[in-house]
Amino acid sequence: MAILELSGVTVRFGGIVAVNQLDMKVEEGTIHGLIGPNGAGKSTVFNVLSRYYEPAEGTVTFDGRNLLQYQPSQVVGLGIARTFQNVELFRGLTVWENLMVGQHHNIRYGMFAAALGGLLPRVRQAEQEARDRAMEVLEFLGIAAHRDAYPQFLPYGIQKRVEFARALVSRPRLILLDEPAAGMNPSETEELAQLIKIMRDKYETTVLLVEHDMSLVMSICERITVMDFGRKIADGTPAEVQANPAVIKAYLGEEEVEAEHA
Amino acid sequence: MILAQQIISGLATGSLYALAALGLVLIFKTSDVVNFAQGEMAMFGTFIAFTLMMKGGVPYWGAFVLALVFAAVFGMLIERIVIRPLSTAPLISVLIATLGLLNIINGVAGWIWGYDPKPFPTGISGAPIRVGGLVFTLPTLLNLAVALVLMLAFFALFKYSLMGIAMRAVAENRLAARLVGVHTNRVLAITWGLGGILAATAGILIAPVTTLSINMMAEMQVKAFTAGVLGGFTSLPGAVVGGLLLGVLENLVGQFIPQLKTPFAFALIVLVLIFRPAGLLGTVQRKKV
Ligand SMILES: Nc1ncnc2c1ncn2[C@@H]1O[C@H](COP(=O)(O)OP(=O)(O)OP(=O)(O)O)[C@@H](O)[C@H]1O
Ligand SMILES: [Mg+2]
Repeated sequence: MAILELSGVTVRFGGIVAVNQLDMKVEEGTIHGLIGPNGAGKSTVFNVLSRYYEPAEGTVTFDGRNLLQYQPSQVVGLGIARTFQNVELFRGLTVWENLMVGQHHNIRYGMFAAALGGLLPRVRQAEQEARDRAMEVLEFLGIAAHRDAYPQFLPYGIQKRVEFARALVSRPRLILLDEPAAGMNPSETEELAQLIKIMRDKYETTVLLVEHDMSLVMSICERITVMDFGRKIADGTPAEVQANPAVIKAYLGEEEVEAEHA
Repeated sequence: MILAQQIISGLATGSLYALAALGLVLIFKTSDVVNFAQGEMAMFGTFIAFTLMMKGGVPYWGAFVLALVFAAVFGMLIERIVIRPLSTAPLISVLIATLGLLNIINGVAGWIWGYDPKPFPTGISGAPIRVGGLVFTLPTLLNLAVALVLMLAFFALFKYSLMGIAMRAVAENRLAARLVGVHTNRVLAITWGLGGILAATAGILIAPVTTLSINMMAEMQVKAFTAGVLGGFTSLPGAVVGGLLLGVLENLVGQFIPQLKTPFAFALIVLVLIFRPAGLLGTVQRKKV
């Protein structure tokens, strides 16, 4: 069953059509790649799913619900969490505190509970669960040693993992990863590939992955959607996509051009 | 010994400045709004406590607590009705709106309760405590204790509770906070509710000194701003330290040249702004993600 379905989604910025009549289905429990050359519209799709960009046309259905009727702050509560292409961690907060913010949608208490804080058992329990969850995820992603660090002082690859962790602590059913391997060396990337697969099984999530590292995409994705200039030019299994002439022309061709220039 | 006694009475006034400044700083820190109506929120809450005591026969501490509940709701309403609709407006519009609120609340309070000053009771009374040659009155000690306890409580809230951490995230980048699932509107409403509680607490503790009137906070508000700016305007401990420092300095100045007490507070604001302009001008920038 498709957990996420976009149909006819179009996003415009002034004269630019960043996403053009996009149809896409993401099956529940899969690792689904969304690839394409620079400026193809991949991050724009993520921003539509975050309800940050309003599509001019089209519908988005998540888990049987019309996603477009929700507020940006409700999206995480529905079960969609994300990372950002340019890391968007809070600089004034430690890694640990960033993970607490990632669970804030779970906190239902109001004004007086907030004022009384830890004095109320209900609040104490909610906060304890948040801490347990954060610790588990930090350990799972191998970044527990950095829990009290401020993100800006960490290597970029680690910052990417912290964002991954912040998305994962929210217990998402669909996790959107925007270039998670950026800033990582090949062995770290290989480790990340394994982590994404284990995470999908252990936390029972669906993954939508934007990534330029083709070895990562081809090794872990079960389905791939390819975009170019805002349009979908192909989708299918990694093998199908790699054999698709349009993809080779638009995407792999670009790499050849780059290689020739190098 | 006279100097020590002067410092003590400076701390007494200073703890009131600190309380008033705490609310200002809390709201500024989280929502980027300089709330000129903070003092009038304090005054209004104090009148509510007064009415409960005089007309309702509610005992002092009961009236205190009920007034705080009222103040929290009042703060949240102000956020919902005035501040939230202006969330995308330029900073200056929000400033003018809080100035407008100041006048609205003041006018309505005058219309309800009249313009004559009224005596306001203290929470505790009894013989002053003498230590060595120094005299501590009980209200002084109460005010100091309340200021310090509230400072610590809010400091702990910001540092450790999920709500406090979310407040800091909202303060830093409201959009990013929203995109990772923080209900920013609710966080801001709660901030204003807590700001209202701090305001009313300050008002109720200040009223026995100033007497209760619709203009009771006029001077206090200036002092609260000075205390906040002295402390950097985004730091809760800063607000308390700033308040106490201002109280003591001002008292020492007043000892020699009483007429210059208030000009001194303004001179301090100007000086701090010259040397630490970042204190007041921090803005949240919207970023592409
Ligand atoms: N907020 C915005 N305002 C104007 N144009 C935008 C905005 N966001 C994206 N665009 C444009 O939309 C197009 C698609 O951008 P997008 O960031 O989605 O590409 P991408 O596929 O993520 O590329 P990359 O691989 O470089 O990250 C680009 O032409 C970009 O300049
Ligand atoms: Mg992108």
